[in-house]
Amino acid sequence: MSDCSQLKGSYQAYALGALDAEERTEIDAHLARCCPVCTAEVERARWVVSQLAHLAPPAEPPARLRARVLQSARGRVVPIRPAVPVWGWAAAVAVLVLFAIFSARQVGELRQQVTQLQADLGNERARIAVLSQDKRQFEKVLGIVSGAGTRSFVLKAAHNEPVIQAYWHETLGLALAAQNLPPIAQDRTFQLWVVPKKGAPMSAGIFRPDASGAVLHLNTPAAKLADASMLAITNEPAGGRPSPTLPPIWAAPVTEGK
Amino acid sequence: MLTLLTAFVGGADGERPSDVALMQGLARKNQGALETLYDRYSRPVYSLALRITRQPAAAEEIVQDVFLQLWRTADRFEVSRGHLEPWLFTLARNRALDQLRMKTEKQRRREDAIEGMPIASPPQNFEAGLDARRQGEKVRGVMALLPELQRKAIELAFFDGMTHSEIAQAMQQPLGTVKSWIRSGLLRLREALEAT
Repeated sequence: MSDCSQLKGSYQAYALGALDAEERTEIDAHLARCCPVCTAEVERARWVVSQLAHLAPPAEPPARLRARVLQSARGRVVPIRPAVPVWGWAAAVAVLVLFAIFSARQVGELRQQVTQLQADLGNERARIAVLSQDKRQFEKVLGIVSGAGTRSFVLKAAHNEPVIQAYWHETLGLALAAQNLPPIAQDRTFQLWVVPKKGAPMSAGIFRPDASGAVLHLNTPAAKLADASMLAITNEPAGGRPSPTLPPIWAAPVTEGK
Repeated sequence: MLTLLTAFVGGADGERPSDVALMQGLARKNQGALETLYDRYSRPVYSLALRITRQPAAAEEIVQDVFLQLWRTADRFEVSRGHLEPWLFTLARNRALDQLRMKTEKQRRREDAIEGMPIASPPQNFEAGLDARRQGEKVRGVMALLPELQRKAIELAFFDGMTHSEIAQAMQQPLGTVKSWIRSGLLRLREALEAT
């Protein structure tokens, strides 16, 4: 079990949410014991972390949002409860009596139906989560493709593979799109590389074509567009590698201008 | 009219009302207090949400969610313990990262409980609102002095919600290096913010 001196180096990362699960659980457990020292330090760290919000580029919210927020607040104001008339109380008592004499078997059947509905709801929520994720991914791609200042590149292969289209926006990220790519072995993956003008290639993520050969890959490269000399794609072992192990299959130079 | 309103919510002699006074007004369901707080904080909250989600529609939803949460819980906000701006930033960031990760309702309820914890007050010489611009300049100044990769690591953690391991993988850097960058970078920021 860790004590305060062992944990104090992790307060900032904890407040940032950057700790991996095991370390985070350790601090959660320590704070749950209401350690006054660590609780105060974590509060302090949370304040410091909150100030990183000032790094966000300033953006003006649309005027309509103000009206929406204020109208929503008006709508959520709790109204004064109306007085309940005598007949209302009598009706409530009657309902309670009826419920009390409702058969146990019927209650059991209702419980089964509720359980099934909950399971169905869980499935629907999962399906919606997947669809929402796809929708967000497409919206991100659309943002990159249509962004001002986005540069496009066509990665070509030496043989007859289809070309791969890349769109790179300095702040929104890099999107890769292709169709009819050849299948890849189960234990392999394609890996995108940004080759800088100086230094070793830097990974920009791994991807596999789907059953139809389509690819839509999004990444926020660590390398800057201005420092890049080439985009390249290699075939690597599953999970990717820190550096390319084979020559590229697709490549495109990153030249000056648009 | 504006003078009467600010006097009603606790501002004296037409001065800018404090966040504490506005939160007290909010607890009494005073719409004018909400309007003032919205005008004071909607821009930085929206900017943060937009930077994280990169989607204006999602950012608008988050702003609405944050201010409605403020409206609903104003009577429970520990104004004596924490200032409003950090609370707003933390809530907005959590909501935005929730959108990125499509968290379950259960996970959100757990984090709402954490959000209920008071966030520490800033240093004694800090006055909310009046020093917000200087605070922002100080933060940007400190971060600009950090090496690029260190700054990138902190931004990936804050704006993309990445963990140490995820950052190390994304940046192709050793895990220990990433941990050290984040720890030392935030300590430098804290020292700068706490300096008079």
